[in-house]
Amino acid sequence: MTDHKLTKGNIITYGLLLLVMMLIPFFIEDNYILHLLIVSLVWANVVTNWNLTLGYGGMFHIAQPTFLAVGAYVAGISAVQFGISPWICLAIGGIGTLITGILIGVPSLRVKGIYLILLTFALHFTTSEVVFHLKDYTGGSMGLTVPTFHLGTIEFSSVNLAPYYYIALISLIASLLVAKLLIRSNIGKALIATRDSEVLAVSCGINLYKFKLITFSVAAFMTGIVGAFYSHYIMVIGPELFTFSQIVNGFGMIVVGGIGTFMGPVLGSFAITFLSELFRDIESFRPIIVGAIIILTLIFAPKGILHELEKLFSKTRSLFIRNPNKEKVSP
Amino acid sequence: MNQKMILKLTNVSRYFGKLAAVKDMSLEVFSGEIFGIAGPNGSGKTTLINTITHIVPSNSGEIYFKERPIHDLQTYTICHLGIARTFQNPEIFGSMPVLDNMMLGAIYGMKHEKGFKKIEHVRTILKFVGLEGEEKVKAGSLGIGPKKRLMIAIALATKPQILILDEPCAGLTAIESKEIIALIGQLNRQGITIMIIEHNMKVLMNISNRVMIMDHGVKICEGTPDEVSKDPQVIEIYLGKKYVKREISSCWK
Repeated sequence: MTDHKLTKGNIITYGLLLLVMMLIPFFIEDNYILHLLIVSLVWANVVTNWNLTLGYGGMFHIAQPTFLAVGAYVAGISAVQFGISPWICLAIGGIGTLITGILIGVPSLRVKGIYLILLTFALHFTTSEVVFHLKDYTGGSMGLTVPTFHLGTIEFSSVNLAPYYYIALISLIASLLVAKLLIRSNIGKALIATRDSEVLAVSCGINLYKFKLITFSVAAFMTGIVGAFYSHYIMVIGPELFTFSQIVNGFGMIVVGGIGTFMGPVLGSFAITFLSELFRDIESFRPIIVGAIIILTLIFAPKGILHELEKLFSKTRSLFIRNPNKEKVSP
Repeated sequence: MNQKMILKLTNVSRYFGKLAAVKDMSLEVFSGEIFGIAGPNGSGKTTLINTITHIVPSNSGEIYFKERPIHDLQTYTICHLGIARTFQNPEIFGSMPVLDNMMLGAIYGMKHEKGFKKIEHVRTILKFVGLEGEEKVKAGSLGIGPKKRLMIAIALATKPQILILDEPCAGLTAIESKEIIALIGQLNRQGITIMIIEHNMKVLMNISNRVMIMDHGVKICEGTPDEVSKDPQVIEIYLGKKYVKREISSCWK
């Protein structure tokens, strides 16, 4: 599934995976587990978009957790201050974050390496300060209480999380489709080319800045939508969206899943969310544990767990299926 | 040879801190010629190319391509105008197949051509550089020889008017070098102006119409291979002072 091509095998795998994901709410009655799955889906969405720029585009930045927060606050403020429907707020959150993405991307994507990280790091904490000081709109450190969704007779509440689960799932599928389309387009090829050799890419006519900005903005828009969803799901958004552990967790999900792989970060988001939850009782140690997981992954599985799983799968398969070509070669 | 100027540099300098990698460089390249550049290691040859293609911007001076100033343009725009280049160490898109490498050159380098023409163009180049049948091979898995050919192919895919080659024979076997030199000759006969950096003086003298020798970032000599090979400064740089006295110009042969 690291391959960009939609082979028959990949389509079957994706189809089965989707079917399982669709059926989950019918079999899981525990709302706590369902909540963790929704959080995993939200983060899977965030890291899919982060991976698009970081993994495929080689833009080493930490803007995605900020975009999640911006989407959440733009949607939350729109709903609370202007009484706009949460459904419309999803789009507003996306557009607000898109504008933020463009405003940040225009100056910061001209630089790379440590400077881009520093700039996006500054963005994260500047946004946090803005949110903290605009108390009248954002609720400051007390947080902002956001209304939830309404749709006909469907109940959106803490006792019925299934509708939220499906919105999060649809949102993730949308992000994956957008990512897939982008990667397979000429823009995606240009991005991968940049990752391979930036100097050759510009020398053969690729306007790197333009393509980086397009990808960065698309990723910001998609993350903004999921941020908006998150605010209407969690219903109280506050400064915890800007903590350093948000950045560590998100980055950990990409590393653990596999940087630059299509489904790796999705897998990583489920792994980190559930693993991190196991250590809920020792809350203050959780970032250290996630950090340790990142280091261990980089040492023992630098290409991510998806790659290791694929290796294991092909090894197991080779035990059962004989390679006819191998027999011909052997004396 | 058509004596129309295609590339002109006027007093171009590039400094790295206080070190002048290229200093007050002025030169003219004429349409249809092979212009060779040589010089000892660290003489500023690659920096000169990087400055022309704006991989590193010049600190002063002017660069013109067909009388149009290009010193302030970005690298990708310079490529769109018709200047392509290769690199000393193989720079390829290693994770992609050979064909995709070239298609990227055609898609982004030949901005004004239609899609099917680009595919046709790429197929012709594949055959020309001898990579036919390797279209689906991952570029990163190629040997150094095919990688160098691929680099030339990517540059050609952009349909350049001038092709700048940075040591195309470095790291190649004698046979591979001979093939590359033959390829360059063929390209030139097809009308592409060539600017080539090469350490092998014998090769450079044989292939070039004009040669420029650089040392410590400055031009020390420019002219036909015959003129350059008789230049005392050039002989001193390459062979030492004692050879200048002996006036052994045939030592290049």
